[in-house]
Amino acid sequence: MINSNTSYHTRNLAALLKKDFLIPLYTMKPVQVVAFVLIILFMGSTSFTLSMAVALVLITTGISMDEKYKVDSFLCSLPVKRSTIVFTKYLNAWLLILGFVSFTVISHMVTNLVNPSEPEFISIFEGVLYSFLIMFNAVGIFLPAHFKFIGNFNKSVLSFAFVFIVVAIFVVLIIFLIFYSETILDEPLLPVWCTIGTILLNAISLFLSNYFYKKQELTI
Amino acid sequence: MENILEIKSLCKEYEGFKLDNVSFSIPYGYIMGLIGPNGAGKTTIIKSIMNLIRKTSGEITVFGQDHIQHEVEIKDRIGFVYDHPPFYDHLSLEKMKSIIAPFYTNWDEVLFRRYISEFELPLKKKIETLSRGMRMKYALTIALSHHAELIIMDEPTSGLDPVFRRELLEILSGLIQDERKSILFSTHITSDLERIADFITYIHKGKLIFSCPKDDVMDLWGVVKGPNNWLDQDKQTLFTTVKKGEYGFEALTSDAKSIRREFRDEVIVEKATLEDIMYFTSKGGENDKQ
Repeated sequence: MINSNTSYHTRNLAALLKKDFLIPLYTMKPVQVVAFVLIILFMGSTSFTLSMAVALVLITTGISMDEKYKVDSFLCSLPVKRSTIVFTKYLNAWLLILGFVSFTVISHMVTNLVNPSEPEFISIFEGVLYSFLIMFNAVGIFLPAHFKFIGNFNKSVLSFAFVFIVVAIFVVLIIFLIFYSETILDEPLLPVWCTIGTILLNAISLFLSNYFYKKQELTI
Repeated sequence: MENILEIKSLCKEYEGFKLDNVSFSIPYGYIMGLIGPNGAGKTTIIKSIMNLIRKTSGEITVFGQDHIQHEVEIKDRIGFVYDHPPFYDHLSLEKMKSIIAPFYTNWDEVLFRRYISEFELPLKKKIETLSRGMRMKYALTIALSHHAELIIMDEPTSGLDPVFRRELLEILSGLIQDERKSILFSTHITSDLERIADFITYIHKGKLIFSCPKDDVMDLWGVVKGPNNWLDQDKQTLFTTVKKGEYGFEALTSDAKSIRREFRDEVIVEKATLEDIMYFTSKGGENDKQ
């Protein structure tokens, strides 16, 4: 029984990941995909912001397609647990952010070899880390709201909400830094604390999303 | 008889609607028609079986297992067709299939291709371009391509042309030649069920009116017609629903045999169709006992 449950779980996780990854890509034209890749490859250090933006577009597009076509009742009729659907949404977002960060870091290192006038990666490491954490936190705030209010928003509202959360986190951080910059920036373990905080927020977020989705009545 | 699906005392409450203590079962190898007017609770029952909505109380077992505890294993063996199947409409039929197929242990690509060809579905076209009938054919193809043992269909024939409706009914009849397969089929087009169903479950305003073999329904229920002056207070109690008109009354009875035996010379007793039963019970009447 355990083996059969594990095999169901692994297979469904892979199938859902495939779905969450492909659905937003299928909305794009091939030329758009190629353009994104080329821009990220050739924009050097500034491509980091762009790659985060692409990750953000892919995450919100996937979720807004689910909302647009009201597919949750269909997904839940498949042999898959609701908790697996929830976990895969997080895993997909985390992997997209991680994937784009890795891709950008590698492309940055390659650019640096070709053109040594570009700043070395180590000098922008903290900036990269904090932007990365901001994206993770945005996912952590956005997804429970999505699972709580499934079927109540259209896709443009959803995309706007996600962008709004990212911007709001930036604004709050800037305000915070203006008032507490001296004490905070001197803290040597700041990146560690921020990382731990982000992990905690995502863990609580996952728990809440599971709770909300389990209670959803999929009447549509 | 071993049951593929058993529902015991199922209750579900919404604002303004209550599914009240519904129980019925389907044996292996049979087709059960779930009938009732719009809003009777048919979709609520089906969505409760699929755990898409949470039941308030009651027990549902499928293949002898609890439908929540063994949800994944059970759904792997169910083919489910919605009244308006929700798909990612911007995908082609081929791409949508490639998203769905990996979820099923027994997905059969050859069988899928066979149904696609039989239903003349355009694999490369986007789902959003399909007509209602073709969309339903596609949903049916998906439901039938993983060797499901229990097919659950919510209003599959509504909005379909008569040719495809007949074709669908033939496919369903063919499926249960395998005696381990069963079908639960909700509809308000009762003529479809008179053609293929073995059992009928009738729901009205969230309550179970009856669940029994179709032939029993046809034998037991009757429409009685006669003059208004024949219908005194005592006789009215013999009927489920009575409708009086200017030229006489029409009444529905669930004991047509007794009425025929006792009042053969005084009134006309006709066999009730499923539509008659639905019509009389949903419209109510002077002696509505529901």
